Amino acid sequence: MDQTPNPVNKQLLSRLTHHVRNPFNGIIGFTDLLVNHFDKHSDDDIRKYVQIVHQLSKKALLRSENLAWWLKFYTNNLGPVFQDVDVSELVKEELSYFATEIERQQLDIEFEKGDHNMIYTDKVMLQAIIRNAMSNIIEFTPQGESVDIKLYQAGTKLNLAFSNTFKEQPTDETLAFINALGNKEVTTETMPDNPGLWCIKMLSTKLNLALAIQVKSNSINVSFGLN
Amino acid sequence: MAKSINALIIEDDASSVTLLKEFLKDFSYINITGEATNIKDAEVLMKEHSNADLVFMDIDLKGANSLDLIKHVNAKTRVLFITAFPDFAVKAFEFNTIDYIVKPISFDRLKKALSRLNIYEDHHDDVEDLDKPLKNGTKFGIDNMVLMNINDEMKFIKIKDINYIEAKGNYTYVALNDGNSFTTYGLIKLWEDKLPADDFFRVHRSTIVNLHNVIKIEKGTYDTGILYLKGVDQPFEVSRNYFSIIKNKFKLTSTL
Repeated sequence: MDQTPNPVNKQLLSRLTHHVRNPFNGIIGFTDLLVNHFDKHSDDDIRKYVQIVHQLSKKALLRSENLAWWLKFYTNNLGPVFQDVDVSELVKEELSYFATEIERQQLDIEFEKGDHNMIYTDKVMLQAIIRNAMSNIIEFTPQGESVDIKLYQAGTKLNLAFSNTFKEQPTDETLAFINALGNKEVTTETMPDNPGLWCIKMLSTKLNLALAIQVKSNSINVSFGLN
Repeated sequence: MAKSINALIIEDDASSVTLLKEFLKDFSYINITGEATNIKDAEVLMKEHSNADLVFMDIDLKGANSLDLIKHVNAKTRVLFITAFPDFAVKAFEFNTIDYIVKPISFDRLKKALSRLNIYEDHHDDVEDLDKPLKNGTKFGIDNMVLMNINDEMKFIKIKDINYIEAKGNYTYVALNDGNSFTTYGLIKLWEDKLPADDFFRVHRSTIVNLHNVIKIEKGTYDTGILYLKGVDQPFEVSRNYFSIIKNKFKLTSTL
């Protein structure tokens, strides 16, 4: 990936910062309802607003972290610290982190792990990859649907696959991003709108992890070299 | 009855749509007739609803600019821009724009923007029971009557005959002195704004009582109160804030 400043990178930074602002705008709006108009809402409404603020706060944190990753990446300050990492434990931690969202979306999530779950990588960066993948799959899976997370060995690789049962055609933005994955040069036309997917790609590249986004099944697969 | 305004929402951020709809609950005359989250769907939507009265429009739709879409609606359609980008304000006012709100949006800011629709002059053309007094900010008197839609029948209710009012989400439960009751659409805040303040008092987020019917108020825990009302077996909780206001407003001495 080109790490020198160019118009594409500048525009990507602009999009990332826009994405960071979005959840804060929501937080301010919903807290306006609570702070200035508390008395006119029912208990159910108030409960709903607080839940939304909670979710938006997590989204704001995730996007702020992605922006921080991007800045580190483009300033060559992304020095990975490699260690043995149990991928299945990281997946469980993230499932726990997103428990509220999963419950609210009424998602049926199945996590299947294999016999071998250890890889040698940067734990924090891998966690960011998994968190973004999980955030995406939760956000884009309709209420009440199922999500399968599978960790399995394939030859010398360990694959982590997120997939859902939602078979909707991918959006133009997703297609543009997927096309961009195969290109050496990312242009403004192929620039992904989704900061989560971008972060997954960026960190995967740095960690030399193979990454695949399967269009038809709306899934995200990350492959790791086994220890 | 007020005529309704058919409105479209064009916005790519789901939480912004949810927030806008929550705000719009207070503007019952606005009906959302369509939504779009990307430029392609927005174009189809605006062609199909070219007679919409109002469009709530975000400008940046996943990287695409929505300003060009306005050509698809008729000249009478008004546009309210709600966007994170202040840059397009000048361009936006080339259209039939009523306002340009830069996020984050607040309820009061939206209310101010919607007031530019001149909704009362254009759309309130008859006796809209609860809405008409709001127009000039006056309240009902204790001897006035309010026209209510009860089970699709219009009935006059004497203000003095109301015993208490309870919030039920977007509806209110109105209990009368004679034991009858009915449920009507509208937030309790509407009632609070219109009932005479010397005769009715809000004692809790969800309750307004007729002060003439109050038997007594006992002190509860944590500075709350327990209010007993004529004809009602169960006492009402008076929340700390409202109890404090009651004591300050109606006290004779500072010993309460």
